[in-house]
This record gives sequence, structure tokens and C-alpha cells, in this order.
Amino acid sequence: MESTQVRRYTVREVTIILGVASAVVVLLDAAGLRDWASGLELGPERQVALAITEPIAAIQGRAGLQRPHDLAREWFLSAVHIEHGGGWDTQELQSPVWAEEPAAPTADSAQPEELAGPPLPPRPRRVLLIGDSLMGWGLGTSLERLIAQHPGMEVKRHAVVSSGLTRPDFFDWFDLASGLLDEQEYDAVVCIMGGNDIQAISTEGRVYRHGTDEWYRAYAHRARSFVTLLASKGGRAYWLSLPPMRDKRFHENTRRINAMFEEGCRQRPSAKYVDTGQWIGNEDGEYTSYLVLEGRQRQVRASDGIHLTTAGGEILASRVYDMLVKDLEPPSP
Amino acid sequence: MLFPTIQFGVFFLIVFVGSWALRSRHTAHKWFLIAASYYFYGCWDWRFTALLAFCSVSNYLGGRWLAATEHPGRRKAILLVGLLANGGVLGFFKYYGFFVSSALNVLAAMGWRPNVTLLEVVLPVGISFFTFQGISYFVDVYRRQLEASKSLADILLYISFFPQLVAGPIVRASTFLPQLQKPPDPNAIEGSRALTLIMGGLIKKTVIANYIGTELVDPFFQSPSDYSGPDSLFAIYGWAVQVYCDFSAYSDIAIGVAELLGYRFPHNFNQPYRASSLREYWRRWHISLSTWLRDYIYYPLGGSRAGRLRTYVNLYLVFLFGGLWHGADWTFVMWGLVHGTGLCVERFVRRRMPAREWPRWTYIIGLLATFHFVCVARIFFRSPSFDIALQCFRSLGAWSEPLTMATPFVVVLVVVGLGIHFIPPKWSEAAQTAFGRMPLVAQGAALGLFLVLLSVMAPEGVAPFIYFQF
Repeated sequence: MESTQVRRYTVREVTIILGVASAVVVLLDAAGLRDWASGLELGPERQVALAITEPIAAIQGRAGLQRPHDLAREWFLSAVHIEHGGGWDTQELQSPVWAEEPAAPTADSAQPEELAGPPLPPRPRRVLLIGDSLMGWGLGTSLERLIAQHPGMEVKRHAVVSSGLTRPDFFDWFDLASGLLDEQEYDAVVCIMGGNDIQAISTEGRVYRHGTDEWYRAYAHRARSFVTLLASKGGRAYWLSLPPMRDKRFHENTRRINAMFEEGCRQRPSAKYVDTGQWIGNEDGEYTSYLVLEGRQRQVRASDGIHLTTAGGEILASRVYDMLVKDLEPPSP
Repeated sequence: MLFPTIQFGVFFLIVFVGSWALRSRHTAHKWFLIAASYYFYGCWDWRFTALLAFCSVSNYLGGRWLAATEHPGRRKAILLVGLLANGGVLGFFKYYGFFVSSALNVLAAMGWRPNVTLLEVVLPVGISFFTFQGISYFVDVYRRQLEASKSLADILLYISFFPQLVAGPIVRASTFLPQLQKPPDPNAIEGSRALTLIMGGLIKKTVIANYIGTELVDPFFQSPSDYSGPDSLFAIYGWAVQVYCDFSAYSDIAIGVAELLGYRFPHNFNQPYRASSLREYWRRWHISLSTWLRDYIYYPLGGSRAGRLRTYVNLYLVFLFGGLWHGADWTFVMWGLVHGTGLCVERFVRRRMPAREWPRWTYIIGLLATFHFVCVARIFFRSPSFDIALQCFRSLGAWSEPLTMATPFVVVLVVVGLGIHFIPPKWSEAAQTAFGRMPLVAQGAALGLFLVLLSVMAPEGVAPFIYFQF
């Protein structure tokens, strides 16, 4: 495939091309660069990237140079009928600030024996599945399939990779969940998330590093508020705990996050905290990559020690599905 | 760090400037590229940079050891040690769980359930690629086709060079090491070829492969039994386009990026779906892997010179190995066996009816048959389990239901993805020449506008390349 006709460039020439190309990108899509910087993990790298890209994006935006890009994208997405830009993770960058988060509920210390909720109407049960990558595949896809196959149940799933509650600037679950629950009446919402939340929280101009008392107070507030939102608008809320993790330190952090959601569920009669470790862990509820099922070794956890394999997703999904069918008593067709 | 991201763009600009600035100090230039490559790899998991270094240093020492002895028996022993070291790393990290759990299942079926605690082994990204590069170096030195490198830096850079580190192409030591003997020529960059390859790769990955994946292929393979026969067929065609656009995009970008840094990589794809036979298909698809399997497994087994029966056995063994190379699962083994069977049948037929006796129109039949054979085999490649694969086959038979997944946008993407296989090669050369004839500023503006257009069309976020998992 080598061609003798191909032009040979000098390094200087390639540098000029790359320089002009970079300038064109900055000129026409500085907001894209700022959004990228904003999506970086909190830390010095993000600060530097934002310090460079924010002023450029502001000047470029004022000059109206971002408008052609945004109009073209809007036109393209509507022309091809893709919602929210499709893709693997959805960034919602114009999200409301934390001041607008729902108020914390009044504490009610006892965990209800039975899950309360509004009366179930005489129609197929509607279930909403939301969460991060754990709801994206493995568990999410299997659970969606099981529910969809039940003639008395309907299901919608919305999963956003890398999302959680600490970074509304990256993805605002309050905004999305509220919108989804306003759009449609659901009988149950099943949620799993929190694994991406081991990072600093930035709110009202202050940054709380993960692990500090302030961080736990802020996160517990968000956890309670989010459970409240799901339970009050979504009929019944099922909060699936993060499964046991292989890395001990990560496991300890996710265990604390689980505890905050468990506490949030305890305060709402229509919210149920579900310990997934009883189904996807070993006999002590701790991490295991393999489970013996019907005499066969099945790998249930992905190689990262965090996500579930297809087999692991199927196992967990079948347990959650059984619980939903029992609680929601879907009508026969 | 993924290619089609701003993070990689920034990283590449820094490496481009830094590496060319250090060109006159050749050793520093190489160590700079090594550091950049280890940073690139460390972005996935820093712990595995030590494994990368271990593989490189052990291959370097092994090569020196081979060079130091002339005794045939001792050389063979050293070769065996080298193969076991490289194969052991790959086997442990990639296949431990697969083989041990498979063995335990066999024992359980026989009524014996030993109490074994399975280790938790994490799969390092790109391990199949860099261990194969290590083996290629070691075997070439053993065969005296390549002189053992005296420079540790050369071997470290050969194994870790970031453009090809995590998903190929599998660059041979005999191709890359000679390029490290002198600094890259700052006046001989095939810029228009590199930039058009990068632009083509970006659009194939971020627009064609990603949208087909999220809008068609992923939903179908999540639950094939929910879809009709026409939907299933369309999704399987879509999968063929997605995997080609995804993987060839990575190779094209890798080749382009390496070229801009002054290094040449071989082509890895040559319009594979225009092949009219399976043999031709494997000469056009993932060329660096198929030639690797040919040179380091098929030929040493005797190739086609060890008798007819042995040739068929060799083909099966090569594709069994090729299947396992792609993934530690029985579905990949099945994919390899299906291809092995196809090649054996094709070879048998061709021996009875030489191709030169066939009329020209049989090319079309051959093309369609090859494409559909490849599509059917790929069902095993994509399905997470045999159950899902069987659901795909069952759905293919349900033709009473309508086609619902063929939105105009997805149809256009699939047609374009297949259509690019039939573009005459001269057209792409003409496009490169036309790009190269524009003034430099116009070339930069065109590249910049292309990147902006890409951000207009690309879905939010970028899915990892499919071949990273291998």
C-alpha cells in the first residue's frame, strides 16, 4: 500500500497543521473543551484545565462563535432522532445547583417490616430502573429482560456510566430522576449507584475531600434526599446496595456509602434497602468472583472486581425480579 | 486513555513536541517515548506498568542470552524458557480463571468437588498484544532472522510504544527495531497519509461504530429473543460493521499517530468484506494477527507441507488458538472452530476445483457466502454465552414479525460501513494526494473543522475499543 506519490512533510509543516487545527477547535468549540475540563476528577489537573478553558469559552461564547456548533449538533441529533446525544455516558452540564436539592425528610428511626406505598392501580405494573454502570449491563440488562417478559409488567431503564451523586456538574441524577418520574407514573423504582462517588464534593463554593466529616454529612444529606425523591414520586423505591468489592479499601468506602443509603431508606416507609451481598457474595456476604450454582462454577464478577459478569447480573436480577413480583403482585393478562 | 478524547489529543500534542524536540539526542528521545508510553498505559492501572516492564526486561535478557550461545540444544532450551515466560504471563492473567473453573466443572460433572479457592486475577489491558510482540522478538532472534538488541531502551520502547500498545497492530520486532537504530527523519513524515488515516479512524469509531453499537447491536444482543428475524439479521450485519469500524479505526489511528512521530507500522486491514473466500478474508482482516499465527504457529506445525490430513489439523489448531487468544471463553473457542472448519472445507473444495476454473460471476457468490459465514461465526464472538448465541439463531428464524430496528440513520451507517469496502484503493490515495496539495494552513483548518464536525456528530462519551478486552 506504500505509494511513491505521497507527500513528505517536515516536522515544522506538521506542527503548523496541528497548530491551526487546534486553533480552529478552540475558536469553534471552546465550550466542548470547557465541558471536558469540567468532567475531569476534582484535583489540580481539573483546576488547571478549567483555568485555561473557562475564560476562552466565555470570550468565545460572548462572540457567538459557539452558536454554529450548538445549532449543528441540535439539528443533527433531531435529524437522526437520537435522545440526549445517545452514547455511553450522558453529561448534563447545565444542571441546577445544589441549593435546589429536595429538603431532607423528617427522621423516622424504625425500618418498616412491610414496604408501604400507594395502592396499586388495575393496570400493568410500571418499573423504572436507574443507576450507574451496574445498572447499565449485567444486572440492568438482565433485570430489564425479565420484567419485560412478564405480561403484567412494564419497564424502563436509564443508566449513566460513571455517574453518581457527588458530581452533579457531570451528571445530575436529581434532575433526571425527577423528570422521568414526572413524565410517567411508576409503581416502583429500582436504583443502584454510589460506586463512582468516592471523590470530593464541591458545593456552594466549598470542596469537601472524601473521607472528612463534612463529606459524610454532605453525602448523607444527598443520599437521604435522593431516596426521598424516588420514594415520594416513584411509588416504591428499592435501593440495591453496592455489591461487595474485591479491593478492601474500596469495599470499606462502598460499605459506608451503602450504610448512608440504608439509613435513608429506613426513614421512608415506601423505600426498601436491599443487601445484594446476600446473593452475589460468598456465604458470609463478602466478595467472591465465583459462585457455585447448580453444581457449576460461575464467574459472577468482572475482572475489575467491581462490575458483574453476565452470569452475575442474571443471578442478582432473578432475585430482584422475584422480590418485585412478590411485592407488586402484577395482574395476569 | 482512549484515542478519540481531548485527553489523548492533549497528551499527543505534548509527546509530538517533546519527542521531535529531543530528536537530536537519540537516547533521550527514546526514553522520552518510553516514559510517555508508560504514562499512557498507567492511565488504566499503574500496577501493570511493572508487568509491562517485566515482560520487556525478560525478553531483552532472553535475547542477550540467546545471542551469547551457539549451542543448538542450549538455544532450544532458552527458546523454551522464553516462550514459557511470555506464555505464562498471558496464561496466568488471561486464562487462569477460565481453565481452572472449566476443570472444576468437569470434575464436578464426574462427581468430585475438590475444595479449591480460586485466585482473583485481574486482566491487564492489551496483554495479548504485548506478549505476542515479545514472543515475535524472541523467536526471530532464535531463528537468527533478527539480531538480539543490545539496547534495553529499544526493547522497552518496542514492547510499550503507546500507539499500538493496547490493541495492536502486532508490530514485528523486525519491522520496528531497525527504525530505532537512528533518529526518525524530520523531513520524511507522510503527513497527509497519517492525518487522513487518523480522520478516517475517528469517524469510523466515534460515529459509525458507536452509534451502530448503542442503537442496534447492544440492544439486540442483550435480549435476542425479543427481536424478529429481519431485526436479527439487520443487527448481525450491524455487528459486522461495528466490529470492523471499531477495530480498524484503532489500527488506522495507531498507524497515523506513529507516522506523525516518525515511525512506520504495517497495515492491519484491507477491506476485509470484499473477500470472496475465507482464505482471502484472513489475508485482509487483522493482518498482523493472521500473519503472526501463520509464522509462529502454522508454519512451525508444518503448515501445508506435512500432508493433507496434517494440514487440516494444523488449520484447526491455529484457529482454536486464535479463538482463545480473543477471549477466555468457550464462545470464542467455538468461533475459532467454526472458522477452522470453514477453512478446511474451503481448502478441500479448492483442491478438487481450482479457482482458476471458476467463472467470474462466482466472485459475487463467494463474496456473499464469505461475508455471511463470517457474520454467523461472529454471533459466537459477540454473545456472552451459548444461550444468547442460540437465542440469536432462533430469532433469525422468526420471519413473521416486521423489521423495527432499521431507522434511516442506522441503515445509512450500516450501508456506509459496508460500502467503504468497495471503494477503489486509488480513491483513498487520491484523497491523500488532494489533501497534501492544499496549503498548510488550509490543511490545518480542514483538520480543525473535521474535529469540530466530529464533536457535532459523536455520541456523548466514548465507548472503549472492542479489542481492548483482548
